[in-house]
Amino acid sequence: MDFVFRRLESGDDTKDFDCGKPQLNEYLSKYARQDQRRMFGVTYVAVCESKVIGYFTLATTAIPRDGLPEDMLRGIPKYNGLPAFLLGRLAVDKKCQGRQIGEHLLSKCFDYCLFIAKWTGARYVIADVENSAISWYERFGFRRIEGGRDTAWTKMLIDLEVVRTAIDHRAKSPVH
Amino acid sequence: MKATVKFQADLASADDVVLNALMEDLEVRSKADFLAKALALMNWAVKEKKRGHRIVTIDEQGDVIRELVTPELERIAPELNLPSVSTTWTLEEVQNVAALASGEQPKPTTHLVRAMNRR
Repeated sequence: MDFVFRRLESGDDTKDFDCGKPQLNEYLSKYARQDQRRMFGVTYVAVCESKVIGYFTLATTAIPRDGLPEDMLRGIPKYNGLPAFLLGRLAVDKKCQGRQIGEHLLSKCFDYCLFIAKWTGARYVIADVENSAISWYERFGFRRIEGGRDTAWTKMLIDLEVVRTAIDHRAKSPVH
Repeated sequence: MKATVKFQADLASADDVVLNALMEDLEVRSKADFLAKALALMNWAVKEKKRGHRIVTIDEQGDVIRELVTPELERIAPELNLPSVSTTWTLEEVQNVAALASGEQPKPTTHLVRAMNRR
């Protein structure tokens, strides 16, 4: 399946997008462009034949200092939290599910995070995950952060160093 | 007629040999034409880096053979401009982040390796 990745644009066709989760459909069709304009998050889309077939939203965030050990905060200005990336949403249209589009979106997200991390110093990616999707994220190495107030959503974390190791793993693999 | 700019460049004789060989391979007749094409190629590479993309060669199966990394291209900052948002954290969540981060780093899962390998 051929598709392109890019930022969501104003003319993108999102009205028929259906990932099976009304909340995620509604976000893409109603709020994603608005949030992008207001700088609340950037939405990246996979587009096939002029239709959006998958998306994720990305922003930077900070984990509060209180509760973090000093060694994790070394070099971070006194009033700042620990910088991190926030993967807010990730969804694939039902018609395209089972074709690893989600995996492709996630790898693109990691690519962007690794690239931006050179300038921001962020090391972790936090995903805000609906509980029914936790096992999907776990497959890629995200770990649950227990203790949240929301009973339907769970924060999950992955260290970009683990992602980098996955890339090194590839580089060390023999080329046939 | 397009406006043009003239300039002169000194080239090492070894590079001149490469230049002539490339012009022959590419069937480019003039050095000016070659320069315009090289410029277009570099412009494309810079735009791709600004989009946060990597520049790689791939084989017929789509496997990555080599990545183009130069100090100049690595200086290009991506135009990703991510906004910063605040999220609500409980103290327990933050303490759990610290526990996860300070423990032994997990190995990448097979799904992660595959995901980062498929491009």
